Amino acid sequence: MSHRTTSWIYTRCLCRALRWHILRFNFRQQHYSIARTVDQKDGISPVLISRARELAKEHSRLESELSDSFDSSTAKKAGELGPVASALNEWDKARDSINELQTLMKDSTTDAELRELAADDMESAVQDLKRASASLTLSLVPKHPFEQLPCLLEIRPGNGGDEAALFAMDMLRMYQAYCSANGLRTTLVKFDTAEGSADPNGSASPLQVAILEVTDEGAYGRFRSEAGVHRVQRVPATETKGRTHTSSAAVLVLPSFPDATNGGSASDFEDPTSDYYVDPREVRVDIMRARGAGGQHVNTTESAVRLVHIPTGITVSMQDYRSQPKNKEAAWKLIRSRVAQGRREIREAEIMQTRRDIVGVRKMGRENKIRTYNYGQQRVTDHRSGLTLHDLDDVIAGGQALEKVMESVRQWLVDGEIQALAAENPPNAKGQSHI
Amino acid sequence: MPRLLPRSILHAQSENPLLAKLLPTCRSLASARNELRWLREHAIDHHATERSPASKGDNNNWRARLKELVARRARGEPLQYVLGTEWFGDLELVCRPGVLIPRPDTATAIGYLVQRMLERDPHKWRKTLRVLDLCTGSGCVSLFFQHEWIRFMPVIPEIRTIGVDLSPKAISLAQLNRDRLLRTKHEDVERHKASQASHFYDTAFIESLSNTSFLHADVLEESQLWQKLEAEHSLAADILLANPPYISRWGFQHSTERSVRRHEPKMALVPPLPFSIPGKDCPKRADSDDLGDLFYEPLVKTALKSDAKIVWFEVADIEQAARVAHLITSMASARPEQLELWREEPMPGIEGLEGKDEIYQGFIVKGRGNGRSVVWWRDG
Ligand SMILES: C[S@@+](CC[C@H](N)C(=O)[O-])C[C@H]1O[C@@H](n2cnc3c(N)ncnc32)[C@H](O)[C@@H]1O
Repeated sequence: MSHRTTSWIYTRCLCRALRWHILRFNFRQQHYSIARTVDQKDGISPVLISRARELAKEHSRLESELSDSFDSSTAKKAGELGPVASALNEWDKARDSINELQTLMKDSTTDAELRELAADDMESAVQDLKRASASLTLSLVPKHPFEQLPCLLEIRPGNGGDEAALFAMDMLRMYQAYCSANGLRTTLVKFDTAEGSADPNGSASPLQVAILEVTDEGAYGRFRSEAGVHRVQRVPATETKGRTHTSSAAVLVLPSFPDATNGGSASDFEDPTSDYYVDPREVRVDIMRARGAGGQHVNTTESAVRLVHIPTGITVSMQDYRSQPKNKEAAWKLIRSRVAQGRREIREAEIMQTRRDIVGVRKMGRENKIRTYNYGQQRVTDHRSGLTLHDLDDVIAGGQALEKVMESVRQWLVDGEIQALAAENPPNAKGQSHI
Repeated sequence: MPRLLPRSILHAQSENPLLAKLLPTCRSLASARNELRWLREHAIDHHATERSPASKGDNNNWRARLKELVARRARGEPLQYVLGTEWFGDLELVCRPGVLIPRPDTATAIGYLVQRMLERDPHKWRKTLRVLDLCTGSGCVSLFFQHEWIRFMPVIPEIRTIGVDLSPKAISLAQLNRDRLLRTKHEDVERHKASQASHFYDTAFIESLSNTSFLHADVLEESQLWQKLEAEHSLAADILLANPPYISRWGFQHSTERSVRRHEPKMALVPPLPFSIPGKDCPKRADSDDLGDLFYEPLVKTALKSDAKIVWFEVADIEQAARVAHLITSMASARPEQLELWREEPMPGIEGLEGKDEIYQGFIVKGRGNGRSVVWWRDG
């Protein structure tokens, strides 16, 4: 009797090769107060300006500290505040020149010609101030902690059967084309179809899940706007009566953490007090192997690996490679991303709760329909930014039109951040007298 | 054994007819899908390298090839022979009919052995390290041990490895695997001249591979074996590793998978009956022959003769492990504390961290799963 039943046997991997899985993430907490009321003329709230001044002061204090003795954490803090300080500097310059022009124009001793020149300059000075205000606001928006990381795009068919699988495949091709057009490097980490193909070009079988890794720095910041349910309305190739179907594909965007062995920026994850720390002792490693006698008695090809993050129950299995170590490596990559993403979502939910009473919720998650692709009308509408383009072909081909849509969502995210920050700290009297 | 439901066969059929063909051999849809994917990759790659790489899009030819490969696998031929390779830890080794396919349990044990040596005393081995791998087969144990050593140990001495096998097919495959690794490592060194860490590893591995040789000899004929080893360079060894044939006649009939019985060499699995060894005056204890223990006594003799400090043997189950441990204590008057019985997953599990070691017949047992190895810390 031979036994081909398989079972998961767990083991804890002690090897040093896994040391790099110890991942700590340094979450920069930034709570800048921004007032809701916005000064019409300056295009920016007075409280926001006063906050910027405080931060700029802090920045110059840190800089002088650094000139006495160098300390890397001080340098890091100073580096983070640098953009605020320089944006404020620009804003001050723009405001000063407006004030100068105004005084000139008001001054009765100014001759008519000069006054005219001043009036001409006024227009461009106002534009400068607007621009400076915008970049000052932006510098105060907290950066997403994973912004700079590479990312994983996970694409799965949603409702709609085979048509959804076809659309998921179209989405994969769309992102691949977008990446190659923009010089971004990608790897297809996982590509499962019903028949298990690894060859995206030679398979007619419906896609079940694809994971595309975009390995360039900053890819997470670029793609995080893509997370959610994408809806398609079109006549499927298989439809004989010419009816339009509605189906969908779900996109999950996860930050991808560089491993120390690849010389990545692992030092970013070395803060032991950080929330973003995955302890390998909390991860159970299950290895699929043959039940029965094992050893020389069997020659199975089981190489599947399953990782379970015990505190959260997050589970990842990987069986795409014949080599077990390769499956393990790929599974670790996924679980680190999922755990971190889970924590980020909890964090966001908490922040969201505090904001909920004050502003309308800008929710963005995997359950929400975020975009519609309507083939009949050649239309793409993003439901968050509200942007509609009648250039579906170029969007699906991953061209400039897709970048336009994505950019509109990034802008929408920033707007939401600013609104929310303003709402978080209602204006108070303190600081308003600063300008 | 789970019964294959007709429903899942129908399901597979509708997905892909090739999948349905694989299902009876693979037993589960998930593993059939994986195997089909690997076979397809192989068919496409093979096709591409056979011709010019440009002919990759030439659909019909690789499809025809895939059909052949699937048919072979469906007849029960091991996937590793069909594809021609198997992964052993993170080394990809060539497999050929006539030589045993390396098993993942073996790689796990060798990996853990190096981890334990690291934990016990990372700086102990500074002088030339001599490794003897008896019953080497594909050479997997010889090759993987040095690979793991170089990856994990802080001190890398000169490593000299000899693998021994009675099968000429095994010797030439082991040599081929060594040469193939040498070639790819040389290529790696050429390619990433810049990357320091991997360069260091690659060059050390190249050096130790160049110091690896394979010897044709009979492990059961100790005196001849010792002479041959002496002639090669020296009989002395620091580490002695062996995964000999250990399946009993009963075990071969009753607990060995059909694909193993039909397609892998029996001489790699089941020890011969003592009276069938020509010119050898053997004890005629039918019961001990039937237990599949025949190799361990000569192996222990060679371990003593070569004065190995660390000895690792693979075994069939926990009972055989205990028998081998008793044999060692009686033959070599070893202390029981020097011996450990390892299961398939010898490393401690999450719960196992604070738990005490299991004891079986007076010996320490480590890990989970079936009994798989006996380790003798002669230096301990
Ligand atoms: C179980 S296989 C192990 C192969 C390899 N070390 C592995 O772990 O995959 C046993 C090997 O012992 C070899 N063998 C059988 N009888 C032998 C003998 N009397 N002397 C030396 N080698 C022998 C077989 O050819 C086979 O390659």
